[in-house]
Amino acid sequence: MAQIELRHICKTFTVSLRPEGRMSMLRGAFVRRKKVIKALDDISFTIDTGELVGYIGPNGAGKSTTVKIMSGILTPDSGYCRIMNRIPWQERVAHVARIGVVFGQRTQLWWDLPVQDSFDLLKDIYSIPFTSYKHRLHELATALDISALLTTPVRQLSLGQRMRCELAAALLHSPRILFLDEPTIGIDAVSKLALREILKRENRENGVTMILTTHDMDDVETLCSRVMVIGHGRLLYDGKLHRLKADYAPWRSIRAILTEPVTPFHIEGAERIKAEGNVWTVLFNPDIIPAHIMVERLARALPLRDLVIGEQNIDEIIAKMYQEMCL
Amino acid sequence: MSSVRLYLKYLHLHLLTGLQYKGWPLMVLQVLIVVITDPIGIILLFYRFGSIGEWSVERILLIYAMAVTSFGLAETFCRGFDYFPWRTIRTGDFDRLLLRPCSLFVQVAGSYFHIHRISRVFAGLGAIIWCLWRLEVELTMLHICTIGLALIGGCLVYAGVFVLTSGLAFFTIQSLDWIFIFTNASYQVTRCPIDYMPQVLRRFFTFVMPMLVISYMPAAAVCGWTKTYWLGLAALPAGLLFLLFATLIWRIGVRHYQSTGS
Amino acid sequence: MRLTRRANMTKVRAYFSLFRIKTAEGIQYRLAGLASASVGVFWALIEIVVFTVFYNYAANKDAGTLAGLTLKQVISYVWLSQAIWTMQPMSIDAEILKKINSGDVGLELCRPMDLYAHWFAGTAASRLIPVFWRGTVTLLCAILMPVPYRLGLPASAIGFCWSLLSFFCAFLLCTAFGTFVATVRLNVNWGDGPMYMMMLIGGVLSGGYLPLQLWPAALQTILLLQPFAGYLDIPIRLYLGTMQPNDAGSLILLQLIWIALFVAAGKALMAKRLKTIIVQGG
Repeated sequence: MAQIELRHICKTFTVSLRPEGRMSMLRGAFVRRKKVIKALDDISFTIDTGELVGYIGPNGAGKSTTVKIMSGILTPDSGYCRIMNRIPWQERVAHVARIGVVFGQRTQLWWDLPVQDSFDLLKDIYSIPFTSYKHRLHELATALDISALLTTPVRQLSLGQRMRCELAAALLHSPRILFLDEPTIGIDAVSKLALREILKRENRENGVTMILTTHDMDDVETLCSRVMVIGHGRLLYDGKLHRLKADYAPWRSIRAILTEPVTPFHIEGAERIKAEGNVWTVLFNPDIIPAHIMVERLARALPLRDLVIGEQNIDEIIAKMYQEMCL
Repeated sequence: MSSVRLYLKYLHLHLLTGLQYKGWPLMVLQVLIVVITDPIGIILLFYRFGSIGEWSVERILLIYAMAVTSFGLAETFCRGFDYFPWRTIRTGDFDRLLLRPCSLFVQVAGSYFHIHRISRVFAGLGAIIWCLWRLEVELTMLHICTIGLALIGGCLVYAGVFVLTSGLAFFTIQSLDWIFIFTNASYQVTRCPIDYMPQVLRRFFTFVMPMLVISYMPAAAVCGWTKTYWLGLAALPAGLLFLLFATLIWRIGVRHYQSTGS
Repeated sequence: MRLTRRANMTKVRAYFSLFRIKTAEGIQYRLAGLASASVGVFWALIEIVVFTVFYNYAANKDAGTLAGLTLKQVISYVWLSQAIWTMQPMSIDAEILKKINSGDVGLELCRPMDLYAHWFAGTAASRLIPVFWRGTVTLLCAILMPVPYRLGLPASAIGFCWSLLSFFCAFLLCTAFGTFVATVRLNVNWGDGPMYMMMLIGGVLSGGYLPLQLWPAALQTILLLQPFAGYLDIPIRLYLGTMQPNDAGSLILLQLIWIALFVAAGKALMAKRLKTIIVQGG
């Protein structure tokens, strides 16, 4: 049986709008219009124990609403949701004891106190027995390399260090499911790698199910075998990452930095060319034309100073999916 | 039991945080100045006009101090609820609290704690003792118990006001200022001698928000202004009742929050 | 010369537009205004009850009238002071406070704006709308009250005009003091304590707790000359006619002097503090 199961989950929010136009502020003081927004529109999926799922979509697409429903904070308007044999919002307290949540931009550590103190409080909050707490803390501190930081006040930590402590805090009570909301936003490369490593390890050794919302394509690529894409409250895609890319982002892009600005002209094999000053962005399909040949053609036609080859980023993929599904 | 331990743990951490902050003596001074200046109007009035019948400045101050001390206790130990509408719910920290498998009540109550707030309590106690001494009241064991119970009941009443405010904050934060009538403005009512107080106010602050039950009635009992001593003991039950009612509103608020997530 | 003048004009316009935007933001909060007015009305009624009791039943019940303030005048005093109570700075502008705490004030220096003027405009704007809502509603209630509780008419037309001018000066005075307190708050090490103490003392001495005329007789001259009388007491005295229109000029001059002093002190303190911030490296 699936560990997480959502069927036909819907959720709407009401927001009040300000009138527009002249004197709008003044009128806003007396009249206000209400508007209903569909945050989630018939979302269904199942996740098995030990899966690592990337949950992606633009801001406001409904990612955090889904996570809130799955973690029991929010009650959906309609639909069925069962996680580890519980309905999250009905048995919230029992449910949240077995899940962990990491918000990349919000901290649950005490700003002015040493990290250790926050952990001690969490021990009491989750009623973790002393011996298993000590054991677990040692394990996490070694894996995340934070043993030396435990006596440092949180405000003195770098963002990367803080994020590692944050993760340790979320894993302290050995949750079965971990929700991660943009865990790697704004942190340095070393911490990012360490973070991914521990996530993989938790997943492999303890079978922790993880659901990761992120804008960082590298996160998804190194961690998740499965991705779900959400847009306008609907599930647009659910499946393997490489198939998503093959379907929606077959292209590679080359950023070519030129010695001088050149007005764009067609180059054989290029699907699209965009010029901004002395930087050209060239899109091509590597299945049709291998990258090295494309580079060679560019080098011959342009006064190149430097170039970078990359994949299309996640936002472009989503934008393209939108175009195909909504137009 | 574990809830109590958790609450104490919160207080402990807040104390550690507070000690790191160098400016706390100034904060103590600030609260003291608030406490001292607040009744200055009424004291100066008595100074100029003299007593009103048997209502002397000591009598009025005693009732006033009972209410203020209760308020101070609630403010010290329930600061989290006091701050909830203006801090916790705005920053979205409440989501984090919902993600934890323990009492929301304890978590919110413990989310803020400022030790310097207790100076209001000490100032209030000092005023109570001074007034009782000036009124030549003999402090028997019974009287001390009555006053102690009244202060606990009062603490519950004002804690109830904070909880009520927090519960309403789930629906609106903009128009919450009127709750001020229940908090800082409520004990201003005690400046008016009870015999001359309009019936509406008396009834309101007895039966709706039992501010007079925790201030005037115990004071009257202890000082022998009335024949019905037992009314002075009504403070604790009244406080419990009011807090219970507030908790009900709070629960409705939490449920509302969970279904709208605003 | 002309260039600088034009630059000055644009600057003034910039502050004005900042002021306009912030006021426009505030106007939506009508519910907040109503809530605040309800507290004002409640408070005023309690005060009126207390004063009525003292004026009718106290041992020296004529003491108030002897001090130059009849019950009718006290009642008007209470209404007016509640109507403009929120004009007083209770805390400094949230935005400014945030910038001070986060250390972003250093960045503000890089902007081609006079920081003091910027703060002054911000402080003024953040309080104008609350005063507007609370004031209008409270005054409306005050006029509609049954007779013994009603707000009385001004003593004379000329006195009323002077009091209007004085109310305006009071608003500037409050803003100048609020901005001055904000510059004191620039010393982060002290925390919020001194800031609140200064504002509190201002509130007490303004007459909002008790009309200054009812304070002990020996203190009257000092009370009138201290800066916070300009918050409430001076304009209300002009309204009630307990100060004659002949004296209005000097009273308003007094307000203006205090405004100038607070502005100068604020500017000096800000310059000094910002210098040390730069030395520390921002």
